[in-house]
Amino acid sequence: MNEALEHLLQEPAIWRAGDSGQPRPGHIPSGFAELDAALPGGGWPDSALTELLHAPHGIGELRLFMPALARLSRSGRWIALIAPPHIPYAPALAAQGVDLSRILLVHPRRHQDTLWAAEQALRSGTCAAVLAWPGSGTPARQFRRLQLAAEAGRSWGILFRGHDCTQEASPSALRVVLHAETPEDGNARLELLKCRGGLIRHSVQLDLDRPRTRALPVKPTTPVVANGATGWQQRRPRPDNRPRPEPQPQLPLPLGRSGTTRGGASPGLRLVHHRHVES
Amino acid sequence: MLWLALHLPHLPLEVHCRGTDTDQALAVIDGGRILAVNSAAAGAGVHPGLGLAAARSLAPSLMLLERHPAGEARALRQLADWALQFTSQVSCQAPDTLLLELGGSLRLFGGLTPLLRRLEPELAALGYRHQRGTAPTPVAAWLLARNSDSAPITDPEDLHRRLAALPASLLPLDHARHQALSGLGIRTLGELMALPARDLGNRLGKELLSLLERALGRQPDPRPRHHPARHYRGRLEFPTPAEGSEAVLFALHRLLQELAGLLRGLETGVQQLDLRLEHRRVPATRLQPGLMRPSRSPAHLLMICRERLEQHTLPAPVTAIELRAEHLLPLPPEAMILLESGAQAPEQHRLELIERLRARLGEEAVGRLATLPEHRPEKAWRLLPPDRAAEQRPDPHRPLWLLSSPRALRTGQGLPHWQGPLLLCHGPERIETGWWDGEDICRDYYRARAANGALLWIYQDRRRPGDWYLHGFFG
Repeated sequence: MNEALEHLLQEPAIWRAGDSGQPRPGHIPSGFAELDAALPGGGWPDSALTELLHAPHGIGELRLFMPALARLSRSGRWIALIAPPHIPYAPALAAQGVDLSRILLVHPRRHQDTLWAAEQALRSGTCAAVLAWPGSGTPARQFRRLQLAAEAGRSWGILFRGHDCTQEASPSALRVVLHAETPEDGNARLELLKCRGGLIRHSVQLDLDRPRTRALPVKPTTPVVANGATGWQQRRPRPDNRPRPEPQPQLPLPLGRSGTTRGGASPGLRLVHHRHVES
Repeated sequence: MLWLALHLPHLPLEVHCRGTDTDQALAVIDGGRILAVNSAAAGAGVHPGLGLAAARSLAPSLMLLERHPAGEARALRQLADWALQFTSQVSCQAPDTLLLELGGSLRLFGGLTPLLRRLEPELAALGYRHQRGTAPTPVAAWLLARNSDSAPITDPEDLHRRLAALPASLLPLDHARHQALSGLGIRTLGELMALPARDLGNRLGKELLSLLERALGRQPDPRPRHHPARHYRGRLEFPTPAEGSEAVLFALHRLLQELAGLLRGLETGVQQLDLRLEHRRVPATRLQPGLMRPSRSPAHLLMICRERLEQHTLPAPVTAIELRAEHLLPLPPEAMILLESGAQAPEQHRLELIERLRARLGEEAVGRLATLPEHRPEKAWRLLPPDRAAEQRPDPHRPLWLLSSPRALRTGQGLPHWQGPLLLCHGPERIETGWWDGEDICRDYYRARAANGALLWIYQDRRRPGDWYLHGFFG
């Protein structure tokens, strides 16, 4: 019977509460313990599409992915950036721990070539991650092909889109909205709109400049209106008017694993899970 | 010695129409008579030897093409280039036969049968139909091929017996001598060889005697070795102009396979192809797809050409295509097993993606990032072609997005504005450098928070106090 249970638990559609201590196969640790804990599978979904919806540039839309990309850049496969809106700045990427020699920059001239290039890159099997800026007005149904390509090429597709697309139906495995950092605690808020195999509509507070692998208690919040500018006043003196600490390149250390026996997981289930990992 | 003769009975027709799989009835004429017909014309009852008027009355839509002997000779030479992948001893025998000496190649390919299993489908894929003969002497192999007798003669002892059974009509004699032979009641080579050699020479000429001696291996028969071309130039004409890219790709595939044979034979590869598509009354379309590294895989080369071709709208139907490869670059042979299983080294795999992207989006659309040891932010990075190694020099105080050129910011009450007034939260970082090349800068950089929460990288030009610029986003 145990065997049958193990089979059942390997189903990607089955998500177990409290199972987020370590990423399951097919997931990429995000480098943010709070986020790993909130995502089903314990990390970004590999071989699938992630959509990041955000309004202005410069609210941490790249920093959010940097720990994971730094790690993936050491895997020997490409990280393709397709139609980025500005210059991805090499010294800053290197400072985030990204191996520049694995970055592939693609600038299609026409809008429809962006989707084509993204599909080629995802499908090729030689890209660990494909970051694409498909441009506003691209209907989400066109991402169906990309989702299939990501599965075929075992690649992580990340689509950057405006936050006005939140109401759209989309084939992506994960859709998140990034809200700007607040001056009070310097934390950005990531709202999970849709996760395949997980709870929807809750959000996570993240300090994007200080990724860490140790989890803090997750406080589910109520869905908030998607408006980045609410709730804070301008010209208010910023509490930390000192230089931010330099972001540390993320090492694939299992730091969080020993310390992440959070409540919620029944001991029985954890035992089964352990056996599965060892076998 | 083991010679393989590849006889191409349909060469006059194939030089005209192997670039297309059209069902248009075609016939090649020579001296006012039908010389060769394709299957569509044969189906209409047209056959070689027919007069033009009779042929036209049988098939009114018949397209007549003049025989092109120079084209046939060129096609044969290019086939000899292609055949070099199987042996270094290739010889052309005009007008329509290739002779390959396989004695040295059998071990490499694991015997005659495995070699033929590779050679024959490839030859068919080039658009040529052939008859083969295998024998210890080139003349015997050629006679077998002409008779479509593909069972090989491997033992020289068998030569006489097998040749004796061949019809005398195979011999390359003029009409009068064939008449003389039948007048003597001679129908097979066996009957001919039974005659006293002296009489035979007197009646039918010394050449025939010598041919028989060489066929039986009693006289040496050295053959000139074919010298391969230093570059490739293949051309296919369409009897009816090709409309779509699929028809062009069909012909191109044939040329690429021919090229691949030459490249395998010379142990070379190509990195640059030159493709010309000719049109009627419109200047030719020219495409020059390039690769990241030399290759000789026809499938790979075709993929690159296809991506490039699909980016083009052809101005008119294509009347002919021409493929050139000027520089053949050394490329060591793959191990057979790798070749057959389709497995590839990961690096090669990674480059294939770049080639595919470049073929469709243009060469400059794909690049890699590198840092430069330079304090001016706009010069501290650069875009590299994808095949170059990248330098990386981290700088933790820089934003992940850089604007391609700084954007002037509006100011109000002495403060810079970007969708509302900006809040300076970190700075200044003074960068004052570049006096040596005239592009010197003198700036104070700050991190600034915009009202919508975005974190910006801005600077004040110290030469013009009060001028603020946006230079990046902490994305």
